[in-house]
Amino acid sequence: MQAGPGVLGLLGPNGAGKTSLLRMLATVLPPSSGQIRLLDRDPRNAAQRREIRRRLGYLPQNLGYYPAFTVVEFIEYFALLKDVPASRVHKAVAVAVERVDLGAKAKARLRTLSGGMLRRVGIAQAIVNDPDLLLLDEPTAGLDPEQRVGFRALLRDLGQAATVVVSTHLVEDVGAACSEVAVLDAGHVVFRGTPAELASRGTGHDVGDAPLERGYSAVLQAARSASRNTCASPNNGGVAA
Amino acid sequence: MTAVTVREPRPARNRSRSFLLASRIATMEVRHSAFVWAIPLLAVLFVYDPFQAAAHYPALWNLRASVVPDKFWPVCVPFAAGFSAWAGSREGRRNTDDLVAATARPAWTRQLCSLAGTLAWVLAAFGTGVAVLYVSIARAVTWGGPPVWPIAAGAVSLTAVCAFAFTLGALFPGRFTAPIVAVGISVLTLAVFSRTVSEGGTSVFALSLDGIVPGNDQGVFYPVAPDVSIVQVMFFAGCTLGAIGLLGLSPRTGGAGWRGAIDFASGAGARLRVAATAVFAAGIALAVIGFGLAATARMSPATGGVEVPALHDSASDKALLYTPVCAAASGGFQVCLHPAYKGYLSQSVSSFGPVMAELSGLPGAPVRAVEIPGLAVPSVVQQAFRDGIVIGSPPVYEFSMDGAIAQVPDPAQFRDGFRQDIVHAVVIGPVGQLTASGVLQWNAGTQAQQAVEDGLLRAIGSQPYPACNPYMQPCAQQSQVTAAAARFAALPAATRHAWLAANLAALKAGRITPARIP
Repeated sequence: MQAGPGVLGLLGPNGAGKTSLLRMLATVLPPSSGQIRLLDRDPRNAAQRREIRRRLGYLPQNLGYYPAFTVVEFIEYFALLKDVPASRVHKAVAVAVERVDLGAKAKARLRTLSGGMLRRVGIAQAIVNDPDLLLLDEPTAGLDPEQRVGFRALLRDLGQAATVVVSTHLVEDVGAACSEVAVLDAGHVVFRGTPAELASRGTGHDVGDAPLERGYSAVLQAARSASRNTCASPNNGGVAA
Repeated sequence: MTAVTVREPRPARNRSRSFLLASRIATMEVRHSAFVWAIPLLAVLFVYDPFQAAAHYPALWNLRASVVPDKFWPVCVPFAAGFSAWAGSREGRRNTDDLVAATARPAWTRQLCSLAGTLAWVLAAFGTGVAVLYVSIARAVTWGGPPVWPIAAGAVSLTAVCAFAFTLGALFPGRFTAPIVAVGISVLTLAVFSRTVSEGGTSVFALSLDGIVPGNDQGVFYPVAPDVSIVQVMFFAGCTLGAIGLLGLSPRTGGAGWRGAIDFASGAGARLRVAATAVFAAGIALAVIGFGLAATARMSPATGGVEVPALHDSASDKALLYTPVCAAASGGFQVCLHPAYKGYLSQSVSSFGPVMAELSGLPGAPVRAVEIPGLAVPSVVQQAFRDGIVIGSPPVYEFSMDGAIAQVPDPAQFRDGFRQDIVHAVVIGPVGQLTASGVLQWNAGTQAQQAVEDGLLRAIGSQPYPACNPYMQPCAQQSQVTAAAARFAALPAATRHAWLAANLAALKAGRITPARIP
């Protein structure tokens, strides 16, 4: 599996391995097998791993936060942890806050924010270092429809220069924001293509309300019947981004 | 396997930039440390116990400053431990492990910044308390200067408590970690270290900050040797480094991990692992050396202080130079004290005055009273809990303030203690004597001597010795003494003085019976 600039959507049922894959790409979890190469670097090497992390943005599925921090402080904290040069920290934080439309809440303590706002804070900390590789796990969970539309535009914008990998259950997000989509099932990539290609797989399939949903269901159904009929070989493949 | 490089890598970091970023993180941690919420309670406890206790001690630097390790430090420990553990467990409690693990800065740096945030408040609170205490002491004392070593030992030991508790919090994150660690470390420090060298013989109890109140001669007649403080600093600095090294090594805390067990999530590499290992090893070595040295601590027969032979500079045992402060009581009887006790001079003079009006001119009566170190008073006197002896020609009453200053809060006891001691020394003699078998025997005197002694004390309005005393005659035999004392006290002063002038030698020789006392 390989990815370059653009937005790659990861779809798959619960337990398919989307979060595990993102954690591996975020250099948080070592791969049990196979190899990962990120930004031309090997994350097994400490120095290279550190360089990757400087250029990495990551929003985990369950965002932890420090309630006493303000929005700006929390994002600044992560900017400093990501080695953003001190002279650029303030500007980088301000830009990140504005990009997620939290300017009005910049001085608010995190404990006072709603779930959707906290999600946006999480996105802001992920993009504060202007990352070349951005990993977002369920980024739109908790966002209202208007915020979700705005976020999709942000994703498309980020994908102009960076490699953005988005894990989601919402196929409409994939259709609106992703240039590519991968469907995972039981730890395997069972589909890789554009959203349009995924939608086309659903032709004649009756499970799902929208073309992408039908394509997604059809791909999963096909993958499961294939796995029942064949003995799956161990996957020792690699991932590059 | 193609990796997409979108732009040129950023320029390599340099040390000054790295330090600047770390200091900004540390500043942020200081701003958000929860310890600030504990400061009001800590302030109340500080005033309630250490500050008030110091105010009730005699106004001597060494005694009053002893509340810093003896009372203030134990107050600080549970707060320092609890809030450090709370800070250490933050990432686990707040579920930010993944979030911070994906950042470039090594976990060790990040956690040390977090530790620094709490430690800064702990040391600031400790420093402020010490400053308040020392200013109040400086306004009360008349001689000497503030002891610095106990402050250093206190600060280093609190740093060790914070580092140890923080590491425990990071290793075992949870909402109950902080209270458990606070209680655990407090119990450890109070129960295990709350012993002194004198109580425990020779042992590691020299590591105890809590429970050591220096002898009265320390810092007055003799300098305080810094041996114990140096050992404490070594031991606790070692513990600090050990805890910090462990924090950097433990994969559980995102540290570097032992070789072959590197945590993938760690930002650390070989250099950091080597550094953490070196810090850990140096800390353990330092703590072991400190522990070993503490085990050799012993009481110094020369100064009454605690010394560690390997560190001790015998040149520091020389008595401190001073010019006594003197004042004359009625009848020209001169009282001289160490300048550290200048504040008690008028009280001492007024205590000696009435009794010397009765005793002056008698054969063997002292012409002046001079304070000497407690250690210089013969042991037979010391061990009997009396502090004075008449020696020399012309006779001089030499006494220590050891017993008297214990009575400082009660002026009547202070006064009566002085009077009882000098009357006993003149009428009876040394209060104790060693038997042939080496056992100290209380020299209570004959019944006539007791009667005269009590009569004199009653005549000047002081409390006599307790009528029933395990060292003295059984109560049943006290009636004769009491009656004779009452008669003697009722005599006119001139008659009493004349009788004593004529009969004191015979009385001291034991040839007078109670019945012969007028």
